Amino acid sequence: MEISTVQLVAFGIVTAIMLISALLVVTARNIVHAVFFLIVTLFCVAGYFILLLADFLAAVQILIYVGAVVVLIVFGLILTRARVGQAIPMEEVRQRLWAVLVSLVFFGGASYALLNEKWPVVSVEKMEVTTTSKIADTLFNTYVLPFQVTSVLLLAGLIGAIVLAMREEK
Amino acid sequence: MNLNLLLPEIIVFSFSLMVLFVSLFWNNRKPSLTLGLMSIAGLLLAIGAFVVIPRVGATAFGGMFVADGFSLFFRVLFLNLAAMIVLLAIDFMREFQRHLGEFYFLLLIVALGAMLMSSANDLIMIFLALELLSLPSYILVGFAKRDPRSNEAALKYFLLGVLASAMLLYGMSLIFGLTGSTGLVDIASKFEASGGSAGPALLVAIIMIIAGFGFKIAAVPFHFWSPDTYEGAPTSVTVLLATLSMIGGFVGLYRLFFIALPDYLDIWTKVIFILAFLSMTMGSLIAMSQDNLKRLLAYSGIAHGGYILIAFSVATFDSQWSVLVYFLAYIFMTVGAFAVAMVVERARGSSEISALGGLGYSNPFLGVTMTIFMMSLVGLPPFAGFIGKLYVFKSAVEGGALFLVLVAIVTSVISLYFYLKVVRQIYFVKGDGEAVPTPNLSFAVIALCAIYTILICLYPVFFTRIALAAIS
Amino acid sequence: MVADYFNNYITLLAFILTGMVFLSLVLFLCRLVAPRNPIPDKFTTYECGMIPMGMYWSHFHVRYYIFALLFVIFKIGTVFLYPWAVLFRSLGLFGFVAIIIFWAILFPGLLYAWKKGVLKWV
Repeated sequence: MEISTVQLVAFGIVTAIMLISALLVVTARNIVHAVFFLIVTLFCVAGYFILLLADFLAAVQILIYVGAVVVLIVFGLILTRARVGQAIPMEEVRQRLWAVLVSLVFFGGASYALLNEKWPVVSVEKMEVTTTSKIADTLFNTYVLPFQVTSVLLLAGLIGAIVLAMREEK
Repeated sequence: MNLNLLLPEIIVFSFSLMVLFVSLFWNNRKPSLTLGLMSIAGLLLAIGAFVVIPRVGATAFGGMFVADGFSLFFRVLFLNLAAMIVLLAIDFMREFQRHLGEFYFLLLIVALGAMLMSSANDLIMIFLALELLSLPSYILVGFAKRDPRSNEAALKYFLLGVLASAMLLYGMSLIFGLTGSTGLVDIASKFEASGGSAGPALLVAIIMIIAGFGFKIAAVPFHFWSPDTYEGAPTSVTVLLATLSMIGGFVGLYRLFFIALPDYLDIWTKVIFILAFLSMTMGSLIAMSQDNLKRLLAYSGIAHGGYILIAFSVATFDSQWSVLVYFLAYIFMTVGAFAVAMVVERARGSSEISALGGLGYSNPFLGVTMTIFMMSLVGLPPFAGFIGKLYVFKSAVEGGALFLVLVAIVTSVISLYFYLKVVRQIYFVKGDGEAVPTPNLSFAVIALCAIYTILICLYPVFFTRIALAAIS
Repeated sequence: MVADYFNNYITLLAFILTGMVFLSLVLFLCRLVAPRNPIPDKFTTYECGMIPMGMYWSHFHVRYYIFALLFVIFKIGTVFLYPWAVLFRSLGLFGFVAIIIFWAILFPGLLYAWKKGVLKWV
């Protein structure tokens, strides 16, 4: 079988799983279930990275998003005073119609644009695998300044979050 | 690799860390004053560091970071602006005893983000600079943790801000997909080589990018956060949002569109045209019914964003330098107006316009300066706002945007109504006669802003020459 | 090159699929064989044989959130170490200095958290 066919089939399967779980994230009545579906969705994103020959990014996606960000979300859930762990009755949201409409318009417009664009694409067979060393090369040569700015951003986020989350004892 | 180009940024960052750690390890009795003065020392030192930076365009880190006239202008501008905001904050942050070091740290980081934005020459740098500008602002808005309005403001700002960042990233990713490059200059040359006909994906990208920056500059229809956030945030932070953060957004918009997408000028100027029209009209019309001074200034900021966008939509050489003059005028009158609002809010415990009652008699200095700022915001001579509007409108008429200029003049006349409402309150309404004390540092800032507001109109040549030098 | 790459991941896919099939098979067998006798007591939370107190889902202290957050931030920092380690030799002194600066910028955050007492386990 051609590699491009394999890639296409795998893409279809991953996308189907991703779309279903993403829909379940927003429709699940139990917020903990929503988080678990989010994990599935994030795993599928890692699958995309693998299909695009960037397996280091797939590993990072799983490490950071599934391994760390979801943990943060779960902690956030546990901290809230809401009745976590049970299905919450949803009130009828009045903006729902508008939300659906806006999303559909955005989806329609964006997909029309993406499908009708001539992209500078290369077939899979001619692509090169993005190895970790290649990423290291770009990170430490071309993008070394953004790399350092990232750590400033992380520092600001860290300190800001501590300011907001610290309990004021008085 | 030209590390000296980044010297001002390095100084600002070092001082931000120093402020943070001094506040951690040294308990002194006047933390706000000490830490604030330290921050100002850092900012002034950073301005001094520009001596080592060559005036001609130089790049560092493989073209990631560029030090041309434009970036020089805005980096110095942002440093001065940050110094003014810190000076104001010193007087008004005394009540936040616990996290003062963090406050000044985050403020300096916002300044750092704005400076990096002015020098960013790469999509990734623009995005990081925007995040550096936004992330600390979210926290600063919610700094009054016990005030539910501050919490609400922070939450609204954060949620919409994250959405805007996502849209911006989406637009950037489309541009990267089309060109395979993140460098702005590189993108421009790739687009030029491809023949210049814009595909539908580029259109989506342009709209997404404008939406992302439109949030930061509070342009209609991306302005919904601004009145609530301006009202709920501590006023020292509101000044920051109305000036540093907003102009930072404009700078990012400028760099991305003028440097990376000059070939598609006729497309993005049309989108900005709509934004300019909506911002001017909506901002001025809704401002008429406002009773809260901070909300009024929020809507006035939206309207002024619209006037600035006129220059973006015309996009000629003249409109580019005249918008820089507009920024100068806007900064001084806005910081001044907010400073007066802060002093009054502190003395009378309310930011309603009615709290200004009789201010002209109980504190003539504040009354006169506030009148100056209001008249300048309308765009009346002999104040800075007049010069700003004059040059922008003139360049717009020459650039063929007569319609926008007519709308701008009509909305300026409308704005006369709500700015005069403030002046009327100061002079023609009897207040409780209670004295409004002006803290020394705020006095200095207000006086400085008032002087510059007049000076820009009296000697416009000096300022236009700076703006011209920055663009050419 | 690309073919090798995909072959590797097809092995991984086969592994995952086998795991999933095995798991569902075992669970199915369990259901088939095990006797079913649901009584209300069986649905309570198991707590060493005692009668459980309160809800099975309790609230946590804010402190945990800060820990999770520090975890995320430093994990992002660590991710950058991997590519650097892979290319350690050819990046040489420049890469070393770059990564040191990166951590030197981030490290004050940890120091700050420590001094603020958020790391204290009370």
